[in-house]
Amino acid sequence: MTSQSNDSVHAQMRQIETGQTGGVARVEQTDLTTGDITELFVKLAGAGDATATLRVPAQPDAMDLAIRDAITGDHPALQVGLDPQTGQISAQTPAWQSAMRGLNAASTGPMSHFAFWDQRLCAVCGDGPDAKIVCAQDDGQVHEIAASALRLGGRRALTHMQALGPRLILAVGDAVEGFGLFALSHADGALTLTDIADRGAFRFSLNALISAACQTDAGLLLGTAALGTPRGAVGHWGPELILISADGTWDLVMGQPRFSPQGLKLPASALTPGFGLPGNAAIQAIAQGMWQGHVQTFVAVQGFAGSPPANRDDLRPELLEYHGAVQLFVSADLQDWAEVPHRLPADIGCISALGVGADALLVGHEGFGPHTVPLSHVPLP
Amino acid sequence: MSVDSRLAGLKRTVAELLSGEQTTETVGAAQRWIEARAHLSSAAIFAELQRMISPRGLVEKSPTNTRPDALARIRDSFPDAVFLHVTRHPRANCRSQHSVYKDRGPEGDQAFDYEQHWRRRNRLCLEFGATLPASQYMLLHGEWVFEDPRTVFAQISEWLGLRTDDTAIDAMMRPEDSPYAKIGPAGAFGGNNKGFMANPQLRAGRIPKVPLAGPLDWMAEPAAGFDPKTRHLAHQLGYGWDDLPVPQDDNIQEVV
Repeated sequence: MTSQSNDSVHAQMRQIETGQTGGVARVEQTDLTTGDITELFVKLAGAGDATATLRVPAQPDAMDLAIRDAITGDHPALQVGLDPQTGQISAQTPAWQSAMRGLNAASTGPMSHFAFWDQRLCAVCGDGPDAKIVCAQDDGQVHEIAASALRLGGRRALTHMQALGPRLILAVGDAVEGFGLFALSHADGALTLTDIADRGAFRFSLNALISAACQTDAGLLLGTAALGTPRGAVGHWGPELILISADGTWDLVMGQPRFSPQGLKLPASALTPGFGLPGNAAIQAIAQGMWQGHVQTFVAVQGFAGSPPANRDDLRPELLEYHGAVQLFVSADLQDWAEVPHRLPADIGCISALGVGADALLVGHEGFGPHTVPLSHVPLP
Repeated sequence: MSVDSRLAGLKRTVAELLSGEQTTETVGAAQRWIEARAHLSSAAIFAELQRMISPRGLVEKSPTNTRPDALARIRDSFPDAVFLHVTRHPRANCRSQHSVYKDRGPEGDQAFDYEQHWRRRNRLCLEFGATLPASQYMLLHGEWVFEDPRTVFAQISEWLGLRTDDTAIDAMMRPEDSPYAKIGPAGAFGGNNKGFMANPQLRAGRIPKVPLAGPLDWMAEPAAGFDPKTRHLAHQLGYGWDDLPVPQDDNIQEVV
């Protein structure tokens, strides 16, 4: 075992899955000296405290795998992973291993995102004009479609891929045009890729990218990252919340009223973008869970702390630059939002995941050190 | 521009509202109506006009009101007013302005910075919009109105709480039916956009695409391209090199 200094390992919370009796968190650790990336699985008690951790080595033995399976056993979303070193999919559960093999065999380059969708395991291979979307079924049957409509490459990069009923939703970030939202559907044995909204859902460059996504009872709730100009954008700006319904249409939950090719969009919330505060900021994470006897939606908003973009044409926005001031909000109906008070430190880094514990909001963020679990608790009153 | 010509629009409006027509005689009556209220502010007269047409609403579209003091006065006098910020691609706007003003004055318009003018006006509108409740300010690409007017008119009507049925939208498609879609009578000559009065039909069609990048060819010594500040604001407003909604109907005519 090699010793590592705190400064040489960057830890980023990637996923928090919670249930009635606790949960599991997945942390990505990057050795800043070698560039090697490893995963840390953390078992959480009901209150959100870490009760066991496993750092999965590059070559896990049988016991490593058994411990990992024991920790993630109740959370299927954690049982398939994307190896950041090889860009290949790994599946722990036997049910997905055939699909995994089909996907890995069909990939023509490193995969960047994957998602479960309608009994399929899907991934995007490549990050340029030749990228393709590959979907594998549990019987090993594979379908693929060119992703040229996404216009990946240059300043455009895939940021999210998530299932919503009969559609697989894909979001592409673009700091000049604004993000693009697409839906993949399946009919007659073929995959079809269609637009849901382009050009930042008609808010253009202010909606630079989709920065958070969460399955909710109402549909897929998306958070945006707003990115103004070097001199500061003017007008109503700040990030928005957008809801994609099961029928594939989108609407505004919180944001700027506007005309659009998809109809007049008036937000459900009376708040202006950025929960009433204009500025470069991102909805960093969204989670839904039970609190005070109701299903509640929690949102983490964080300010931009990087260098202002000198030239948007060359820009590929990095979410890690949104590590400024943190605000947390909660709503039971997506219309009325209340701020959740917190004492999170100013240097918490980039927030990247939220989870709802028994009596606390679990906030996943950045940290340094090989044994660091970058997770903070915000008590819920 | 003389005071008389600046009042032409007001005189025509008052004549139409008082008498139901715009003639030399009714404009004379309108002139007297205005003189009797010379002690009132513009806002008070506007409010009186509003009462005359209630429950319908007035539309004020004077480009000269895109000044901070004028916009603030409008907002303060009519706190429930809604504002529609209509934009145009900076290149098309600068070229158009240049073509209108290039022959004015002994030196033409060479000293005028159309690019900065576009930037200032749009920044002003955006900054002003941020002082309003979100539902009272909307941004609209002027190009989109020509590309897909029925969709745009329906959405504007929905925003304003007006009718959106086909009959209402059909009427909006015929601006030539407006009593103001013609040259005013003697005593109120003008009072509207000259181009509109000369050709008031709606010319729906595809707008030729113009790029954001490229030399500013209307200038005597063309700059290599727009200032970065202009490009950033253009991006915020949704203008790039491929920046217009794709029209649904491929048979529509191009509008220049």
